[in-house]
Amino acid sequence: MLMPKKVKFRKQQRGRMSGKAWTGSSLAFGDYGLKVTECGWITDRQIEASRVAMTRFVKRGGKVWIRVFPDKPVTKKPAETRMGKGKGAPDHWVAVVKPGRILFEMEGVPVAQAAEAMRLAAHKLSLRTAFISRESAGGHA
Amino acid sequence: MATTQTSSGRLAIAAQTRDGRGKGPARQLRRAGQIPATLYGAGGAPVALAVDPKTVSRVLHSVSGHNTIFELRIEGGENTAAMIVDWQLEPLKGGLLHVDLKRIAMDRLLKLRVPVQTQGEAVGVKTQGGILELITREVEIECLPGDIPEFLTVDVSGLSIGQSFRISELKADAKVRILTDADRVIAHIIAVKEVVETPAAEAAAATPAEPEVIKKGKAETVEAEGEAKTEGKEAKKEKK
Repeated sequence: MLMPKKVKFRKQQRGRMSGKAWTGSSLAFGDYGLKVTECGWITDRQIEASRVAMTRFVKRGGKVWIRVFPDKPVTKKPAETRMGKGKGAPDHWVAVVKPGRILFEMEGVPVAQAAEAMRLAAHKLSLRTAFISRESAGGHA
Repeated sequence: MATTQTSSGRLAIAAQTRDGRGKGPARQLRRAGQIPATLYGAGGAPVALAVDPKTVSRVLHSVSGHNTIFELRIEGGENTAAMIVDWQLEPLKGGLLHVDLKRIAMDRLLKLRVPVQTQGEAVGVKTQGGILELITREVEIECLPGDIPEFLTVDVSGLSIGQSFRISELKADAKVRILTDADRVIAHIIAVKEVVETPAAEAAAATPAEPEVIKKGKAETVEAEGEAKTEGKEAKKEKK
């Protein structure tokens, strides 16, 4: 599972997710990508499940890039615990994403195969996504 | 229609000058169906313009893409040859937000980026099961506006796994000078790694539960604060 090697602080506050993803919103490595269309948290387990789903589907032949990293710790209190007594223990890691952010990129496979792989990956996520390709994006090459 | 064809076969785009500056007038302009643009270069003064995003998008999606030279017809102003040098896209829908246009002097050398197009199927992909990875998608060149190539062709058919195609191996026209570093890799063939799937329990055991916390500095200051507090208490006791 993805997680940072070193952190400055063990616990973080939740924060806000306003605006759009102005960085990381265009294809940088591959020909196809999965773009998130709403804001939210993507957990380390979701990223891993998506990666496994994509690589299993394309088997040999495709290269996958993961464009997000879960660097935000999420804490959780144990079950049946009274409120108070401080913040809970770190439980898992999440990546904060805003609308427009590219989650995964792919290269070396036909467009239909890439779209199907991304569809399978999108099913592992809790956010709405869209499949994009370099032709449809029309951005900087 | 904002686009027409000139007698020389060059595309013509209509534009209007704009007075408003900043995000407020820019947003008003976008709501009205136009986008802000700026025209500069060739020794002329910069001009703030408003253009139709559909026509600009058509130019960007044409065969020659952003390197297309078109005629810009400013209402009540100059008619000049221009090119798109930069553009901003909205991250979600991909609509155009702003365009930078550059005046083109047809007799002056021009620096621009031209896309790279691969030709043929690499041996490494065909027989060895590798993947062709395109690392450099655009190459910076210098040429006269009349000699701009639509793309530079890279023949990858001879590449096998581990081999790469560099800028120095590019065959460009004599009128075109390549400015990108000659050692830069354009494309290479990579071997597909066999992913050995480890059971979930093993994977969980291999990864540490928590990352290392960077304590340097903080621990020292805490200790120093603690010492200072105890010293202060002792001093108070002595006074009593």
